Amino acid sequence: MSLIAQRLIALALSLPILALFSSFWIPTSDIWQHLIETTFTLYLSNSLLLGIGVALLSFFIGTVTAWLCTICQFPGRRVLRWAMILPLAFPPYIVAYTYTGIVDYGGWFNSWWREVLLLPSPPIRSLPGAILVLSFVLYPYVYLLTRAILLAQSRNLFDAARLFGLNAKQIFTRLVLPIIRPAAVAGVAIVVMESLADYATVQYFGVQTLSVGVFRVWLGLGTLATAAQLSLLLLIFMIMLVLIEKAARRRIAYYNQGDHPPLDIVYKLHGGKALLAWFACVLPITLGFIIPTMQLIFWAYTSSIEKFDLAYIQLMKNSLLLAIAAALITVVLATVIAYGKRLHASDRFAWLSQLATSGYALPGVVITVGVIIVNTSIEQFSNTALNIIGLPSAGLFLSGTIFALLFAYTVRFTTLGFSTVESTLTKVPRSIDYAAQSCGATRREILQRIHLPMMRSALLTATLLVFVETIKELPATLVLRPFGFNTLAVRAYELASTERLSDIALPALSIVAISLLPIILLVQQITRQEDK
Amino acid sequence: MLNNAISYRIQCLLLAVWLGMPCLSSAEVNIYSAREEALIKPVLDLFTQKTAIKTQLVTASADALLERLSLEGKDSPADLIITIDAGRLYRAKQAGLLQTVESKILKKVIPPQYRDPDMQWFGLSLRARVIAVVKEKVSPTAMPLSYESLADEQWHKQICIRSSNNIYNQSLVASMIHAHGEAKTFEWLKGLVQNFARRPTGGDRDQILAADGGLCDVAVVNTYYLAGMLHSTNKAQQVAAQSIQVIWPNQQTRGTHVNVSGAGLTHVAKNKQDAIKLLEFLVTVEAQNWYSNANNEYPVRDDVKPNAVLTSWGAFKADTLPLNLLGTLNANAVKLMDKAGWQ
Repeated sequence: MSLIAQRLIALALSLPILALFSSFWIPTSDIWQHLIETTFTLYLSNSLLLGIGVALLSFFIGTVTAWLCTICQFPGRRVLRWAMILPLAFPPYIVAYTYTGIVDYGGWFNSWWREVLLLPSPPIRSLPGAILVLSFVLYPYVYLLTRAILLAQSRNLFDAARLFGLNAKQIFTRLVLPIIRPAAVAGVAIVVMESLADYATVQYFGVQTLSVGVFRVWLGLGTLATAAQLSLLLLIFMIMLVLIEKAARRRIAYYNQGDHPPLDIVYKLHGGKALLAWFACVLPITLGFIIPTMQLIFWAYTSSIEKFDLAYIQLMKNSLLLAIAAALITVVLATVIAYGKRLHASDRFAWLSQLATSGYALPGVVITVGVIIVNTSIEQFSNTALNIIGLPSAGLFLSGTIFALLFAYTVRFTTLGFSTVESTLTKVPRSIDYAAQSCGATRREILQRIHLPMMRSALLTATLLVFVETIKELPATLVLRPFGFNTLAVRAYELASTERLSDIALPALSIVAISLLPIILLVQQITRQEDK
Repeated sequence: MLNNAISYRIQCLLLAVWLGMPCLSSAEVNIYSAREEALIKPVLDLFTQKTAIKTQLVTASADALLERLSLEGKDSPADLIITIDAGRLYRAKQAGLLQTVESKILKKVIPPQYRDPDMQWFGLSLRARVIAVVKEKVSPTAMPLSYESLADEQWHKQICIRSSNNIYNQSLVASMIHAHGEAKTFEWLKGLVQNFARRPTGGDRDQILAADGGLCDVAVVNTYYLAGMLHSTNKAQQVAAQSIQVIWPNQQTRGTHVNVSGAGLTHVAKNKQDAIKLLEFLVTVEAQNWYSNANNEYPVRDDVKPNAVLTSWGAFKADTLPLNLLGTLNANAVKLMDKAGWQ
C-alpha cells in the first residue's frame, strides 16, 4: 500500500475539519466576550461533568459485565454474553424520549411516584438523567473491547494466580484490571466522544453542554464562525482523550502469544452469587434495551399516525443501503489509514491521520457544514476550470447527492473503524512481519496472507459498528440528503420535533430492528470465538 | 474477507443507490423546508393535483438549510425556502438568499405586518404564544393578563417555560425588546427567571403536562401545541390540555405575540414562475383551511376562519410589530437571556 494513497485518503477525510479550522481567522471577539461573561463556564462544566459521569458509569458497567460473562459460569450466561450489546441498537435520543414518556409528567411511572408514593416528580430531564441514558445505551462499546481482550488471555495466567492463593477479588483488582484497563479505556474514549458530541439527548434534557452551546451560538446569535470555534474546543477535548487512550493502549499486554490454552470459565457461581451476577448483567440490558423497546411497542399501539406502507418500505430500503455502503467504504478507508500507520510509523504527516480519524468527536451538524464547504469549493473550482478551457460548467455534481452523504458518514465514523482495526493491528507482533519478510514475502503478501486474516474479526466488528451508527445518524443525513430522500432516522426525528413522541414508535422500532441484524452477526462472531 | 460473490452483490447495491437518486427535472418546484414533511407535504400534494406541477422536498433545520443554500451559490437547485419563523426568513433576506416577488395576490391577501416590506418573504400561517393557566389553581380575578405580569412576585416558582434555545422564546423576547427597550426587558427577564418552577426543559407540550401534574400554575406555549394535545390520541395529553385555560396576553396593550411560518423565493430560483404559483396557492382559502385543520395554526388571511378548537378560544388582538424586527432583534434577545440566566 503506497504511502501516497494513505496520505491522500487522510487528507480527504481531514478536509472538512480543516475547513472548520479556517474559521479561526474570522474575528468574533465580541461574542466570545459575551460567552465568557455569561454561559461559557456552564457549557464547559456541564460537558466535563457529563464526560466524567458517562466515563465512570460506562466503565463500571462494561468491565464488570464483561468479567462476569467471560470468566464466570452462572445460569443464563450463554444468552447474556451476547444480549449485553443489544442497547447498541438504540439511538440515545430515542431512549431519552422513551424514558421521558415513562418518568416525566404524563407518564405512568410519574403518576404512580407522585400519587402513590407522594414524592416530587423524578428529575429525569437533568444532567444525571443524561448520564444515565448515555451510559446505559453506550456501555456495549466498553463491554465489547474489554471482552475481546479478556478472551485473548491465557487460562494459565488465572490458574497461576489461583495457585498463588489469590481470591476472586484480588484477581480482579491485581490481575484483570491492569490487563483490561487499556481496552476498557479505549471503549470509554469512544463512549465519551459520542456523549460530548451528542446534541439530541442533552438538548432534550435541557443540559447546556458545549455542543448545545455550539447550536445556540449558531442558531441564536447567527454566527457560524464562533460556533465552529466552539466546536474546535470539543475537538481539543477529544484529541486529549485519544492521547490518553493511546498512552493506555501502549501498555496493552498480550500474554497469550504462545501456544497456551485459551481462556475458559474460571469461576462457577452458585446460589446467591449466581443470582447477583445474573442480576448485574440483566439490569443494564433491561434499562438500555428492554424498557425502551416496551415503551415503543406500547406507543406503536396507541398511535395511529404512521402507517406501514410502500413509502415506509422505501424508507427502510434507503436506510439499509446507505448504511451498507457507508460501512464498507468507511472500513476500507480506515483500514488503509491504520495499515499505513503501521508501515510508516515515523511519518511526518501522522497528524493528518490523527485529524482524519477525529470526526466522531465533533457535533454532526458542524462536520456537515465542513462537508458542504469542501464539496461546494471543489465544485466551484472545477466549474471555473471547465469555463476557462471553454467547457460548460458541470453544476453541483457533489452537493445534494448520495456521494455527499457517504462522504459525511465516512468523515464522521472513520474514528470507529480506525480504532477497532488499529487496536487489532497493534496486537500483531512485528516479529511476524519480519519473519515473513525474511522468508521473502512481499508487503502485499504479508497483508493478504497474514494481516487480513488476523484482522478478520476486527474488520467485521468495525463494519457492523459503522453500519449501526449510520442507521442512527441524523444531522448530516438531514442537511445533505437529495430531494425527496428520507431515512428512518429522519422520520423519527421529524415526528419528535413536532413533540408527537408517541408517533415515533414505528420508525424508532424499525431503526432498532435493522440495527439488530448486524448485531446478530456480531453475536454469532462472539459466540463462535468463545465456543471454538 | 468477503468472497467475490458478496462483493459483486455489494457493488450492485451501490450502483442501485446511485441510480435510485432522484433526478431533477424542470417541471418541479424544489423546496428547502424547515417544516417537517408531515406538516407540509399534504398541502404540496394538493398543489400538484391542481396544477400538475411537482414538488421536491428536503427538510432540515432552517439554519443548516440556509447555510447549504448559501454555499451552493448560483447552482443551488432550491427554488423556495420554507421556515417556521420570521426571524430565519429575515436572516435569509439579509444574506441575500431571497429575491423580490411581484405578485398582486400575495400583496393583497397577506396583511402587511406578516410579509417582508420588500416582498421577499411571506407569512403563510400564524401561531400565537399564549399563557396557559391551570383552571382549578388560579382564580379568575388573579389571571396573568400580560407577558409583563409573568415577572410579578405572585408567580414565584409557578411558571413553566421551555429553554431559551427555542426560537419561539427568542422571538417573544425580541418583541419585548421592541416594546420596552433592552434595559426594561432585562429587568423583566430577571424577574421571570426567578419565577421559573424548574430549570427549563422539554418542549411546549411538556410544560402543559407539568402544569397539569401540579408543578406550576402557569405555562407559556404556542397555540398549536395545545390544540394538538386536545386532538391527541394519547389520554394523558388530552386530560392535561383540558385542564388548561388559554389567556390571550396583552389584549389591553399591544396585543399577543404571534409568529409566522412562511416562505421566500431563493435568489437563484430556476423555476421561478411555478414557485410563485405555489406561494400563491398556499394563501388560497383551500390551503389556508388546511393549515388550520391539519396543523392547528391560524390562517394568515383575515377572511378564513380557524378550526373549531381555535375558534373556541375566542378572537384575539395580535401584536402588530413588523415581523422582520424579530429577526433584527434576535441576537440581542439571546444575549439578554444569557445574561438573565435563562438556560
